[in-house]
Formats: sequence, C-alpha cells, structure tokens
Amino acid sequence: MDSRAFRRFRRNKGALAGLGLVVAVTLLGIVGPWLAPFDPGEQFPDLLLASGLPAGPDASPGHWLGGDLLGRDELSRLLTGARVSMMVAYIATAIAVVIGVTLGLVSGYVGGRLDAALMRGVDIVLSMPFLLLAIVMQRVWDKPGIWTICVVLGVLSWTTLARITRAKTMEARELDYIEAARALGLRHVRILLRHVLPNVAGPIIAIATILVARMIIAESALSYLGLGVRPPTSSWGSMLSNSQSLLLGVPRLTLYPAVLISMAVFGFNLFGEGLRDAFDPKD
Amino acid sequence: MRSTPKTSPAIPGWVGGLLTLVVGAFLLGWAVTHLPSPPEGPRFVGSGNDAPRPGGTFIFAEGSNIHTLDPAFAYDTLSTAACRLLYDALLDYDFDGNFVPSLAAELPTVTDEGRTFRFKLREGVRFHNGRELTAHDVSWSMHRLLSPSIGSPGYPFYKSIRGAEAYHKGEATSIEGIVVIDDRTVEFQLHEADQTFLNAIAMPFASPLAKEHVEPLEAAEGPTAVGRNPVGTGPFSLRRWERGVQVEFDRFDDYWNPMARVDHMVFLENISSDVASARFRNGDLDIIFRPSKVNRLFLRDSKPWAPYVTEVPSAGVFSLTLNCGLPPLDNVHLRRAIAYAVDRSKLERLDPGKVIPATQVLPPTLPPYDPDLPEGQKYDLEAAKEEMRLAGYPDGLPEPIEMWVRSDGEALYAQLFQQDLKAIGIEVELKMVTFATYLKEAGRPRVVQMAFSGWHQDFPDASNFMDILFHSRSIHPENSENRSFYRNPKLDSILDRGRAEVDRARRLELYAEANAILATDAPWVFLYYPVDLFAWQPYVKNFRPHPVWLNEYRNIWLDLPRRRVSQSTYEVGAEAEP
Repeated sequence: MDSRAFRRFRRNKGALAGLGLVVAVTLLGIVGPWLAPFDPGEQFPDLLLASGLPAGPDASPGHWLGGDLLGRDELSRLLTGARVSMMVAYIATAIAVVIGVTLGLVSGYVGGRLDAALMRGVDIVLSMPFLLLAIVMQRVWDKPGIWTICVVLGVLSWTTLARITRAKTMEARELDYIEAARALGLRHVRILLRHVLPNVAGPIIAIATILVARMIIAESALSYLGLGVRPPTSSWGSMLSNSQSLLLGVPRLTLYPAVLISMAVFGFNLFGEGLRDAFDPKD
Repeated sequence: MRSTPKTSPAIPGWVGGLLTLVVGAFLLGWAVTHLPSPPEGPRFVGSGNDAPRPGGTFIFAEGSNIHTLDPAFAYDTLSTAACRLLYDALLDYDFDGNFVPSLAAELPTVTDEGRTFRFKLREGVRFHNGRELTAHDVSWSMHRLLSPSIGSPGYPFYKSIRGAEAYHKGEATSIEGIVVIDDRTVEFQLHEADQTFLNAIAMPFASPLAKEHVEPLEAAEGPTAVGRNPVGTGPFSLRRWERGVQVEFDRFDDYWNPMARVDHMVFLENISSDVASARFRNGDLDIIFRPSKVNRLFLRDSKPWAPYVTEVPSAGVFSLTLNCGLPPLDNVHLRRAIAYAVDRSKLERLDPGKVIPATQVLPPTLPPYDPDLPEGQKYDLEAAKEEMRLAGYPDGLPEPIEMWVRSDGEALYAQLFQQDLKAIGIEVELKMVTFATYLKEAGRPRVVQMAFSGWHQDFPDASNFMDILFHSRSIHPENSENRSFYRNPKLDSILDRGRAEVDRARRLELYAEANAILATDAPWVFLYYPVDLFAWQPYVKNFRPHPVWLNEYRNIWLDLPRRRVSQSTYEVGAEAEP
C-alpha cells in the first residue's frame, strides 16, 4: 500500500471500524479455543432444566452463557466454533485467491485464445448455482469435514477474482516498465510475479477481504443445511442450524451465533470496502 | 462503484451499516420474544354429539414421505399407515392387541397340529371397483406377493407355507399350500408349525388385490404402477396423490363395516415436527404424533389440552448396531465394553418422559421383557474398562470407529455417546447419511461399522424382533435385516424352536433365553424405548393409540361442526371445557 492509499484508508472511519472487527474476530478464531472455560463436548447436568431444555446463564456459576441444547457450555462452544468458522473462511478464500489470481494473471498477460477460453470457463462456473453445486460436491465426497468445505467453497468462488486480476493485468501489460522488463529479456514468470502482481495486488486484497465475508455466510449456509462440519465440532453456522428446533422456546441459542456471524461479515465487508476505496485510482 | 467521498455525506456509510445491524438485531430479538404465541388451549371444540356421525375431513401430517401404496412393498411405517386405509387383510387386531376377523368372517379353524388354517370369508366384501371379493382373490394376491418377479420384502414372513419357497425360487408354478376350497373358503397349509403365521396374515402384505385391476396396470406401466393407483377393499379409496406433498382419500361407501367414518382423509407428507406442531396448535391439523420438543413439553403440561393428550410407550427400541462381521467389533469384549460405557441416563435427562433407558431388545410392552434381566445392558464405567482390557485394548482403541446417524436428532444423541466412548478410549466419528442410504448400505456386510438404528414391531411377538434382526438367516449379500451380521448357531436353534413351539409358556422361556444371549453378546447396544405422545383436537372422537399400528385413524369420527373457543377461556382459573 503506498502512502497515499494508506492515508486515504486511515481517514475512512468505517474502514477502521471494519479493521477493528476483523482483528477482533480473527483473534477470537486464533485464541478462542484456548479461552474456552470448559470442554465444548461435555454435557453438564446442571445446564439442563428438569424439562430437558437448556438452562440459562444464571443456572450454574461459571457458565456465563448457559447451556446449549445438549447441556454443554454455550460459551465454550462459541469460542471453539470461532476457530472453525474463521479457518474455513480464510482457507477457502486463500484457495480462491490462488486459483483466481493465477488464472487472471495468465489470462490477462497471454491474451488471445487462451484468454478467451479461460474467460468462458469463468462464465461457466458463474452460471452454475453456487449453493446447489456446493451441496452436490459435499454429498459426493465420502468424508465431509472442514477441509472438504474449504476446498468446495474455494473452488467455486474464484471467478470475480480472476476477472478483476485479468482486467488489471491487461492494463499493466501495456505499461512502459513491463515492456522494458520484457526488452531486458526477463522470463515471463518473473515478469508476472515480480512486476505485474505487485501492481495489481491492491484490488485483489480488497476483493479477497470481501470474499472472506461471503465465505463465512456460505459456511453458515452449508452448516445450516446439515452439510457443514461433523458433530461434535461446532461452527457458528452449525450452532445456528442446531438451535433452530428450539427457536421458539430458547431464542438465546440462535441469537448468539447469529450476532457473531453478522459482526464478522459486517467487519470484513467494511474493511474490504475501505481497502477498495483506498486503492481506487479514480480518486 | 462508490469512490471515497471528498466531503462526508450527512450519515457516513459505515454508520448507516452499523445502525442497520443494530436495528436488525433488535427487530429479530423483539420478533422472537414477542411473536404472537400459539393459543394456550384448543382453538376449536366439537358440537357435543355423543353418537358417532359420519362426515368431515380429517387431516394429519408426517415428517417423511410415503414410498408406495402397494401393500406388497409397504414395509415402512408411513406406507403401511396409508395402506391400512386402502386395504384390509383377513385378520386384524383390536385395541387390546387380540386377533379379530376382518375380511375373514371368523377366526380360522386350525387343524393338523397348528399346520392348517382354514379361513371363511366375510360376505358382501367389495373392492373399490365394485366387484365382490372371493377366495380366488386371496390366493391370487398371495401368489403375487410371493412371486419371484416382484421381490417383496414380505416374503420371509410366509416362508412356512408349503411350497412357498419353491415358488419364490421359480421352481414351481403355484404354491401347494394355498388351497381354494370354494368361493368363500381358503386354506393355508404349512410345512412346519409357525406361531407367527396369523400375525403374518394380519400384515398389510397379505391384503387381497383385484386381479383385473392389477394385471393390465402392471403390463402397461410396470411393477410400481399399483403403488400409485391402488384398488383394495379398505374403508377408504384413493382420490389423489401428489407425491411428496399429500395423499387424499375418499370414504368407500360399499365398505363391509358400517361404522361411521369421515368423508375424506388428507395425509400431508414431509411436514417437519416443528411446523406440524404449530399447525396443530392453530387448529389446522386434527392430530399430532411425536411433536417437536418445545411443543411436547407444552402439551404434556397444558391443563386445557390434558383431556386430549396421551403418552404411550412405543413397541420399539433404538440402538447402536455393531457390525459383528467387521473388525474390531467382531470382538465380543469390545462390544460389551461399548454397551457398558453408554450412559443412557443422559438421554433421560435430555428428554424426560420421552425415552425409557433400554436394557434388552424387547420393549416393555412385549413379553418376555424382563425389567430385572440380570444380563440386561447398563451403564457401568468400571465394567466397561475391564471389558476393554479383556478385549486387548487396555489403552484404548487405536483406530477411530465410524458411526452412521440418519437425522439431526440422532446426531444430537450420538454426540453424547461420543463423549461416553471417549472415556474408555474409543474415538467415534459421526457420519450423517440419509435414511435411504442407510437402508441400502447397512444391509451389505462389511460396509458400516456402527450405526444408529431402531426397530418397531410389525406385530406383537418376540420373534418379530429376534428372528428378523439376529437370525443368521437374515444375512444376505444385499438388504440384510440382520444389520449387525451376528451369527450364533445356538441362538438360531433357540429361535427356530421358538417359532414352532405351540406351548405358550415354553415358547416364552425360549425367547427369554434368547433375550439374555442378545444382551450379553451385544450385537446391538440397546439405548432407549421411545414413548410416543399423541394429541388430538377435542372434536376428534374415538381415537385411541393402537398397540400394533402407528397412525391408525380409520375408526375416527368428527364431532362437527366445530366451534371456535375464545382464548380468554384458558386464563388462570378458567375451565378447559366451555
């Protein structure tokens, strides 16, 4: 980030708030499981009422958010779930970035038929209903788990990145310093990685940040459909899904993960938009 | 695309976003806590008629879908329930579980040491197409059921009929043991005594169908056509089936039994228990069976609902099926360790009143169930650890075991067992599968290690649990009913003797012996016996939970027109009945 962009970013209060939220949820993802006061899988008899419904926060000392629907410590499950949700979002985004940026760079730099073919590939992936395809891929895979979700989400979400990268690469390709690099006889790979990529990195980072937000939502959606992480692992999405049967009786269990998901998504969106604005050359 | 504004607008974007978030969260919270709560008591009551009266539409719902309306293939609870409306068998059960004649005019005469059964048919029984039922229809329908070409899951129940096996294998053109004496009389001859034969005859599998309807239909549209276009002798005929959505039935006016019945029945499919419960409490469904947790708790404690709610232990058992044909669970000590390690009281804690901890395969409703069975499975951590040592795994099982679960509810329970088994060093990984996948894969040897499973009786006899689930004869390359692939020649011989034994006391002794063997050898880890809750609207009359059939609503009548009740009736101190 050059100094002008950095200044622009710093002046954008929304972006700073977004950065704050992103740092907060990411930190939660990293240290959350260590902060969990109890084993997230253990059932505490105190956390179930006589009726079998989960007990509230005041039922038992130390359990600050009460029990979940099996009588496990809700707080511990939210904290361990944070890591799963964040991990899936980041890894899926990383996979999408690797695929999207590579294809975008090659497509924009080489041009011609290869470009046309790759862009039709993007069109094809874009034309497929995302969630439906994710469900099919999850079902076909024999062992659904965190890694499967990451790969499925990553493999289906690289298209926007590829398009942006390609457009930026096409612009950069015509610039004088690239021509100079070519005239010096540098290899194409070196030109792409050392000279083109840094020049197009700004928008990519901005798009990728917003993509993290989309991945959090997608993971929740998959978990909500019962295609997410395997129990007893918790993620915010799976906790949202599991609590729906008690929505009318114990709305608290739905509210906690819902608020966390909204916070994380909102933060990544604000941060991503701030970055985009900062990098926007039109300004 | 928005670029960074040079001059700030009145409300910066991020403030707007934050406001939206806060307001959204607030609205959601408010909506959830302030939604108009469902009525405290029934919204409708009847007119106060005491005498049964015909008419009206009866609506009920289930969470899954009906597979077929062809009784030869109906071997799941919902298809069976639908077939019970469309068809009759020769015999039926009354509400105390005793045999009563249905299409037969009286109970059969039994001769030849329990090997020959002669049935006299009732007069004036008509199919939905108007033709009168004869003994030839009974014989023809049994031949269709047992023919090699259609592959009915009901075949094993009728194996004891002389010549049924040869006919099923295609070695004979007809079944010797089914003899039509005259138009009104049919005789079944068995090659060995079989104490469950009358139970088999009362199953929907053995319902008579009309040949002139079935044959052209099957020729034109294939073997599944009857399942979509049924013609039986039952109290209701099919009006319309929108597959996966609902089945509608009309009253069959030429039905032999002149009991008062409703005009129409509507069976809604694929309605989750949450939705069904809400619709029931709003008066849109006439009965609810197994409501969702929050609604179950409400209905159990509600005063206004109390006269219209009943809880009955279901004649079934839920278990973990352990594959005895696949290492490491072929090790009996390991299986016993698992049976000792599972703390069933946790289920009771979670769903009080809905589960009864299980100790043996037979549910409490079925003799020779023994509440004090010394071999009965129970939670005992020390014994579990000892069995782990005997199994050769004092430090735990090196490899994780995969457990299949078939629904969210089972996955929830399974997470408790995961914790229990962790305590003796067994890692369990859960795999969610659909019920269809479970049926297909768990019926193959050497595929599934451990599965959440259950069994509900087809008829009230111990053999219906033990023969089907644990006899080595029930092991096949595909579609095994013995899904633990447990083989024990001693058990096989006890079960074979039990099936033929005429003396009831001696017979129960044999099954008690088998019961103890199964609890000790632990091919299944018995978890719980479910307790079913039924609730019905006050204007629904003559409903009783049936000891054999689930969703048995054919005898219901409605006290119409129904009247709306003011909800203020249910305020503290007011009486339930207006």
